[in-house]
Amino acid sequence: MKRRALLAALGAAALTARAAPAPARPYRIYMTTWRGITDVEKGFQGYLAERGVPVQYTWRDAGQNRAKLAEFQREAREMRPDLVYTWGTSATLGMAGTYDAPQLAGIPVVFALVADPVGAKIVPRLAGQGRDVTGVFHVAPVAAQLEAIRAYRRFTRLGVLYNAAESNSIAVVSELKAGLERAGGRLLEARFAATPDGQPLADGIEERVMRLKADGAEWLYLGPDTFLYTNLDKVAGVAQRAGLPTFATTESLIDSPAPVLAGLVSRYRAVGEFAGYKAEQILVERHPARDVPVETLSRFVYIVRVEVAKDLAFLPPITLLNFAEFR
Amino acid sequence: MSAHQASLRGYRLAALGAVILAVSASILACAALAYSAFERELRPEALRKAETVGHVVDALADKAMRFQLPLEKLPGVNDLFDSLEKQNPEITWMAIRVDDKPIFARGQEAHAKIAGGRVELPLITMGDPAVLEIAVDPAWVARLFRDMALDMGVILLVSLVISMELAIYLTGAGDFRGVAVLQNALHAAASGNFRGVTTTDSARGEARTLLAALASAVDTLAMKRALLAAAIARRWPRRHADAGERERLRAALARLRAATREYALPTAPVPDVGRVDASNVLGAMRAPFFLFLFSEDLSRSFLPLYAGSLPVGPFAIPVHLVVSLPISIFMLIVALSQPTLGTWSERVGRRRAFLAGGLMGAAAHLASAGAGSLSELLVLRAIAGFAWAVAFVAAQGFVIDHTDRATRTRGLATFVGIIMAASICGPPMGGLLADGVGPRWTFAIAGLLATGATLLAWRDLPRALAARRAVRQVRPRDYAAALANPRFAALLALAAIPAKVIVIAFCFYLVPLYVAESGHNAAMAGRIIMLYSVMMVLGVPITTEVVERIQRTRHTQPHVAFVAGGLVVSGFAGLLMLMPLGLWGATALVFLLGIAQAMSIAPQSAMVADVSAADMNRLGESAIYGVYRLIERLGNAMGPVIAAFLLQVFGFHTAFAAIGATVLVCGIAFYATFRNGVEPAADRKEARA
Amino acid sequence: MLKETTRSQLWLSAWVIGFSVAMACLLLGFKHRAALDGLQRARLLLVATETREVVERNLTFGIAFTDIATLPDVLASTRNTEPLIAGIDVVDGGGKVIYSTDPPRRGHPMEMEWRDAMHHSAAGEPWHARDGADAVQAAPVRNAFGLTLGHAVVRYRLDALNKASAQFVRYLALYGLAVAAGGTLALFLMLRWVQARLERRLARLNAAFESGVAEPRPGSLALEAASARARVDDARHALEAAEQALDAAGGMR
Repeated sequence: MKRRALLAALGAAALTARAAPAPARPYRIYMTTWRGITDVEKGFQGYLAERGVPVQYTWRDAGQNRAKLAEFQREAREMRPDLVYTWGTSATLGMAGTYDAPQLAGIPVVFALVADPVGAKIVPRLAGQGRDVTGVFHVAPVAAQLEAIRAYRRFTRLGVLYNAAESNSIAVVSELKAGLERAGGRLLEARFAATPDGQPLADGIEERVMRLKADGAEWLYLGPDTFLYTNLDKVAGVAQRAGLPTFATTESLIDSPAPVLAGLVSRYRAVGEFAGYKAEQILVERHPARDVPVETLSRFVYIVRVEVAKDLAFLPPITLLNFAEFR
Repeated sequence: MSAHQASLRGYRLAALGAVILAVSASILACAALAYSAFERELRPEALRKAETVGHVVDALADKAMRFQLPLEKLPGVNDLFDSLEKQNPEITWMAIRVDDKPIFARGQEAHAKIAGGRVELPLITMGDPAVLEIAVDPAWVARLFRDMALDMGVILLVSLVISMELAIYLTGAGDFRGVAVLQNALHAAASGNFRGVTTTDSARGEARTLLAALASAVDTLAMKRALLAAAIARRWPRRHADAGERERLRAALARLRAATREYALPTAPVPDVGRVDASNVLGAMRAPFFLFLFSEDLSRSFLPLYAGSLPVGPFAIPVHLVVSLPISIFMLIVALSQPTLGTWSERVGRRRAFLAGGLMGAAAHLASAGAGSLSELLVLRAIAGFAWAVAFVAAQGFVIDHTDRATRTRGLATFVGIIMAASICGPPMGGLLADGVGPRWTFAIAGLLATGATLLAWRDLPRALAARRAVRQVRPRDYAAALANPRFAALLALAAIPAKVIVIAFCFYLVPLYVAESGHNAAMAGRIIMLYSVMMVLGVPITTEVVERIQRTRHTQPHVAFVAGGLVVSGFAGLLMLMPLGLWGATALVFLLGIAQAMSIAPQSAMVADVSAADMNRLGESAIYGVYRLIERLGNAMGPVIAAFLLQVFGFHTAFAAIGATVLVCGIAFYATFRNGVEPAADRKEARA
Repeated sequence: MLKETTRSQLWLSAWVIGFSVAMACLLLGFKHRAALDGLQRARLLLVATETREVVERNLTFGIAFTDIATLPDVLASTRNTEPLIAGIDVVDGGGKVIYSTDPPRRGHPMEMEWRDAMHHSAAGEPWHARDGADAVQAAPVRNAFGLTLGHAVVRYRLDALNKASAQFVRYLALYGLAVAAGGTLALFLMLRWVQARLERRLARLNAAFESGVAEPRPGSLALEAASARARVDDARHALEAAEQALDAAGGMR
C-alpha cells in the first residue's frame, strides 16, 4: 500500500507538472489484442495521448487464435519495440510466456485485463516480479467482492457455477471458499457439465442452478469465466426465474442484456488508463518494468440493474444509492 | 505523630480546604455563566448541521425516486440512520413520517417532542408525501460540559499546587514553621527536657509571644543554673577550709547536678533554628526553581505538534522522526552536561549558576515562540535543555550544601517533589494555553515565566552562596575511578538505570502509544501520565517520613529495602500488563509506577553518598553526583529505544512484561547485593558559608 | 492581626483565584469556539464530499476531469443551499481553478495559502485551512486507481464565528472578573478566619502557660502548655533549693 501511495504521489506530481518534453522520436508500442479493440485499448491510448506522450502503435489482433500469437511474438522480437502491450491472459501468455519459461526477454511488457496474473503464472508475485512484465488485473479482490455482495444483502451461502477447465475459475473458486470460511459462510459449488476430456458443455445448466437454489444459495456468483460468459443468457435467465440474485465480477457480464442483478466491476476504460499509466512509468519515467508492481484499480464500479431488482423483488438498501451506479 | 501535633496541623488542612472550596466555587461559577451562553448559541448551529445531514438523506430519496424505487420498501434506511447518528453524535433522532406515522425511525423519540429541538424536511417519494424529521440531543451541551469536567478538575489540582507553592513563597514557610517549632518546644518543655526547647525568628503573632515567653523562661533557668555553677566554682577552692563549707558545697553541687540531669538544663541560650529546615531546604531557591521548571514543562504537551507544523528547514529530516527529536535532543543535552556542570556550579556558586540557567532558558523559550523552521527549533531546544541542566544542578547543589546524611533523604525528597509538582502543573496548563492562544504565545508566556524566575532568583538568592573553597577540577579519570567502585557500579546498574529505563519507557513512550492504540486521544494519555506525577508528589514525603521514623526508632538504614521494594513494585506493574485490562491496566500501571518510584528515588540518591563515601572525599560530591546523574540519564535515553524495539518485535504486552520482569530481577539482585548494609558516610555536617 | 500575614493572604487569594478563573475562562472560551467551528466544518465537509462524489461519478463514466458540463449547475445549486458558503471551487492537482461558482476565478490558480495547505494535506484525506477570516474545507477527488486529480474546495468566511467567539469571550471576561473578585474576597476572608482561630487557640495556650492552669483534657495542647509551666517552676524550685543548700550558712557573694 505504501508503494502505491508513493507511486500515486509520483503520479500526482507527474500529472501536475508539464508533460515531459517530446523525445527525439516517438515511442514504439506493439499492441496485441485477443478479440479486437475494446474500451481497454481506448483507455490506454487515450491516457497516453492526454499525457502528451508521443507513441507509434503497431496493432496486431489474434482473433482468439492462439497460433497467431506465435507469429506476433516472432515479429516483436525482430522489431524490438520499446514496449509490448497485451490484452487478456491468453495473449499475454502467448507473447511473454510464463515466468519459469519466459520469452521475449529484453522488451518490457504491460498487460491489461488479466484476471489472475499469479494464478496464470505470468508473474510469481505482484510486486518484485523478477521479470520485466507488469500490468493491471481487473478483477476486484475476492474480499472486496464479498463485501460488495454483503453491502447489498447479507448472506451465508453463496452459490457458484464455473468451468473446471479454466484455471482462472478454479483459482477464484478456491479464494472464494477461503474468504467465505473466514467469515463464517459457505460456498456451494457447481460445475458445468463436461466431455470426457474436460471440455465444458452447455447441458444441464437449469438443473445445476435449481439445485444450488434448493441447497440454500442466497446469491449466484458469476466469475471471470469465459464459458460462463458465452452462456450467460441461459444462466442468468434460470437464476432469475428461480429467484436467485446474481452478482457479476466483470464489466462484460453486467453490461450484457442478460438479467444480472449487480456487479462490482472495473471499468475497462479505467483499466486501460491505468495500463497507460504503467506504460508511462516505464517509457517516460524510465522505471524498469520489474520495479513497477502489478496492480488493480483502487476504485471499482458497483452496478445495480433496477429492473432486475424489481423483478426479483429484491430491492437494494438505500445506502447503496450513494455509491452504486443504477441502471 | 502525637495528637497534639495533629490538632495544630488541622489549621493547615483547614486553610487548604478553604483554597479548594474557593477555587471550586469560582470555577463552577464560571462554568455556570458559560452554560447558558453555550445553550443559546450552539443549539441553532447544531440544528443547521442537522439540516445539512437531512439534505444528504433527501438526495438519496431523490435518487430512489428517479429510479422509481419505492422509498417505503427500501431496506437499510434504519441502518443509514444509525450510521448517521454515530457520525454526528449530537443527532439523536431520525425518522421518516408518512401521514404523521413513522415508517422508519431510529433514536429517542422523546427528543423530537422538544420544542425547537428538531428540523423537518419534506421528501419527494413515489407514494404519499413524506417528511424527514431529525432531532438534536437536548443534553448535548450538558455533555460538552461533562467532557470539560475532567479538564476543570485538572485546573483545580494545578491551582492547589500553585497555591501551596505560593503560600510557601509568601510566608517563607514562616507561619507553618513557627507553629511547628512551638509544638516541639512545648512538648520538650512539658516532658522536662529543656535542652530540646528551640525557638525561631519566623514565628508570628501569638506563636511568637508564646515562644518568646517559653524561651525566656528557659533562658532564665539557664542563667540561674550558670550563676549557681559559677558560685560553686568560685567557692570550690575553699572547700578544704571548712567542713561545713564542704558539706554545703557538696550538697549544692549534688542538687545542681540532679536538677541539670532531670530537667536537661541547657548551658547555652535557646537556639534559633531559623527559617530553613530539612523539609524547606530549598528556601529562597524554591520559588525561582519551581517557576523555572513550570516554564519548561509548559511546552511539553504540544511540542511534537508544534514541531510537526514547522517547515523542515535546510536539513532534510523525515517527518515521522520529528515527533521524537525535540524531546530526545533535550534529554541528550541534559545527560551529557551533567558531569561537568556539577563542578562548574560549585566553583561559580549556586546563585550565579542558577541565574545563568534562568536567562538561557528564558531566551530559548522566547526565541522558540518565533521559530521559523524545525532546525531552528531543535537548536533552541538544545539550549533549553542545557539551561534546564544548569538550573537543576544549581538547585540540587543547594540541597546538598544544606543537608547532612541524616537530613539528606528528606531534602532530596523535597527537591524531587518540586520537580514533580511542576510536572503536574506545566503540561496540562501548557496544553490549555496552546489550545486557547496558540503555541507561539504559550512559548512567549513560558519565556516570561522563566524571566520572572530569574528575577526572583536575582532578588532572593543570598549572595553568600557565591564561590567558596577552590574546587578541585574533575577529570575523566575521576569518573572512571568513581565507577571503579564496585558497589557504586552495582547501584547504578541494578537500581539507577533500571528505575529510569522503566519510567521513561513506560510513561513517555509505551503508555501514550498504548492509549492511542486503544482509541483514546492524547489528552487522555496526558491525564493518565499525570497520575504518575501526582503519586510521586504524594508518595515522596510519606516515604521520607517513614524512612526517618525507621531511622529514628530502629536505628537502621532502611534505604536498601526501599530501593529494592520500589524496583520490585515497578517490575510487578509491568507484569500486570500481561492481563487484558485495557485502559484500566495502563492507569494501574502508572499508579503503581508512581508509588514505586516515590519509594525509591530519595533513598537511592542518599545511598549514592554512602556507597561512594571514600571517593567523595577524594573527588568531591559534585563529581560523584554528576556521574550518578549522567548514568541515570543515559538510562533515560535508553528507555524509549529499548521499548521501541520490544514493541516493534513483540507487541505491547510483551514489551511491558519484559521490561517489568527485568526490573524485578534487578530489584532482587540489588537487595541481595546490598542486604548487609552500606558503609555510612562520615558525618559531613561542616559549617558551610 | 499582623499586617504582613494579611497582605500575604490577600496576595495568595488574588493570585490563586485569578489563575484558576483565568484558566477556566480560557478553557470555556476555547471550547465554545471549537464547538461552533466543529459544527460548521462538519456541515461544510458534507458539502465538499457531496461535490467530490459528483465529480468522481462523472469520472467513472469516462468523462474527463476538465470536461464535466453539468458541474457548474450542480455547484451553483449546492451553494444556494448553504448561506455560509462564499463559493465552491473544483481545482486540479496543482491548485488551478477548473470550475467555480465565481466565474472570474476560472483558469487562475487558487490563493497561495490554500495551495500550501493542499500540498501539506495527507493524501486522500479531506483538509481544512484558514487564513485570517477566510477558510476552506476541501475533499480530494481521486481517479479509479487512486491518483488525486484535484480537490473540491468549499470557501467560507469566519466572520460570524469570530464575532460570536469574541462576544462570548467579552461576556466571560466581564463576569469572570466579577467571579474572580468575589472568589478572592471569599478566600481571603476564609483564610483570615482560619488564621484568627489559630491565633485564638495560641492565645489560650499563652494564657495556660502564664497561669499554669488548664482544663484537664488529656492530650490537649493547653494541658501541655500548663505542664510546661509547671516543669519550669519545678526546675526553678530545684535550683532554688540548691541555692539554699549553698546558702545554708554564709552568703553566696
